[in-house]
Amino acid sequence: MTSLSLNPQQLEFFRTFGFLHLPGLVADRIEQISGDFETVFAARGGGHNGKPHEGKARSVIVPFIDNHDDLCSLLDDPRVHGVATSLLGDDFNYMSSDGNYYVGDSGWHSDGWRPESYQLHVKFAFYLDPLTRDTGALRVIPGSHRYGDKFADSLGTDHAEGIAKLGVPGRDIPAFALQTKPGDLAVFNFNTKHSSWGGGSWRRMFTINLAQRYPEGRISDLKSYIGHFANYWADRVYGERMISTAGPQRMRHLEQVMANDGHLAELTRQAREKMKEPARG
Amino acid sequence: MQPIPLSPEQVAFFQTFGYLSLPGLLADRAGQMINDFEEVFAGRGGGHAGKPHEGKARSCIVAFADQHEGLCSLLDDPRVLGLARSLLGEDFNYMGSDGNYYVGDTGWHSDGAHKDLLHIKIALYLDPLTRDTGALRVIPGSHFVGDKYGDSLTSMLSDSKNKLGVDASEVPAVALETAPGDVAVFNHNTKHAAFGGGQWRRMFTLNLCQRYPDERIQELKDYISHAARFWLDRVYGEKMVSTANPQRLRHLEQIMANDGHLAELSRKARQTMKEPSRG
Repeated sequence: MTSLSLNPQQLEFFRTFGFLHLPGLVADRIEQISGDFETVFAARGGGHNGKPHEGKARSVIVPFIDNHDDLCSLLDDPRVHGVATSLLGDDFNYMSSDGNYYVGDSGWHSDGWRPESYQLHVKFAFYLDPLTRDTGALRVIPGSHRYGDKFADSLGTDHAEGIAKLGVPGRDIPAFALQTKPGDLAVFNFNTKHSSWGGGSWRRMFTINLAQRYPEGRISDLKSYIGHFANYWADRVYGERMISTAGPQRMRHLEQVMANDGHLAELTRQAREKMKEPARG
Repeated sequence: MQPIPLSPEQVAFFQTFGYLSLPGLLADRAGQMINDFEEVFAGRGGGHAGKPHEGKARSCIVAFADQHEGLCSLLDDPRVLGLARSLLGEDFNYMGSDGNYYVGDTGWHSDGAHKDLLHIKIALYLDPLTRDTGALRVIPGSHFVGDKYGDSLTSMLSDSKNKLGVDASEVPAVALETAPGDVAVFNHNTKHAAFGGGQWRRMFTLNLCQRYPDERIQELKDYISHAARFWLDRVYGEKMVSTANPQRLRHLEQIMANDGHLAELSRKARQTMKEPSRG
């Protein structure tokens, strides 16, 4: 099946505001996806680090979709693949995924803070419960992704320290709420400041992270980025199923990271000595 | 009574996002402001250019607050004065006002593109307004001239459907839902709009700016020239000046000293325009 592309208006919307909401994009798969989500968590004890989710702190599994054949195949889905190639080019990299039971609020932050000349990193977020503005929906600050702008810079780096200094409760910061239903896809630039407020203690969401392919001259940057996965105690970036079930098309999006994660196992060994449990986000 | 300043947090919010909402700031004056608003319009035929407002096009009176002593005194109100001084300094300029019956939607625009000298609008809506019934919508952070974000919005918002794939009313923005007595303040550079409003939406503004340094007086004169489209001989109405105490005069004197060219420009505008501008 041929990949579906974003139209020029959708691309411009994403470039301008730093996010895109695609209602119902994978609605026809959402029951299966939700079931797979539950299956993966159940097989890993139900929550974080092999223990049940108790609704007190976020539970995270990284990598996530790599643990189930059907979820792996989202990378091959012509709609998901089409959105990815439209934003990142035909040779984009899969940069792992996380599955989560969120608990309560998530304060303002971005997932990175890099100049536009750097590789574009994007997050595909799949929320598996209906969410509204005040029950945990993703909120984004449009335009906050523009590194180097006076506005975006004033909000701070990935820690959003500029927002914290305003002295305004996080939930009152002006933002756009992506009120999603299961089957919607929310896409945002890693630089985009985001948060959520008022959510419950069992909010199911998983992501697929993607990036533009790194040029040869920046492989050290890629390796450095990959090093952060040690916080999740991952020996390789990808799970075994992601690789073993990959066709040639998917493999194109895996090969650069697979060729450059040889240092991760040692970093993870060191992380296991220092950390009580893998990171929760 | 001493001016009541904004808090540092409010100033920082304004500087970051380009607007500030102050619910209930003038609630105790809301009823009187509405009466004064109606009185001014009634004294000018009820609508635009001496004719009744018919709900088909915006009716606009400039200079508006200047027409009524009660409205003039808003410039002396410690809450307005404190707000203005907090954002613009103690020597800010009053830059005129407009009173309006708005009709329907107002598309995305900004009131200026000032790189350094700050111009602000204090907007007083005299009817309860919600997001979809004509409340002011602003795009936070759109006020920074030279930003990739703000500059790209300038080109995108003129044709959002074709360029961004969304109707103007669907552009991501914040709606400042107001009740009479609330005050909305925004940087002239901030992109703003309103959608879904009725045909008789009452609102008036006070426009203010930082004092122009002496070496930039020509810029100020050029700015003042734009008031010719409203057929004004002077920027201020007579009552604004005649009822001014020394404190208020401080905020009037730079404009009064530099609007001598306006009458001739307005004379020419009357020859080329069928009616004074509606906005």
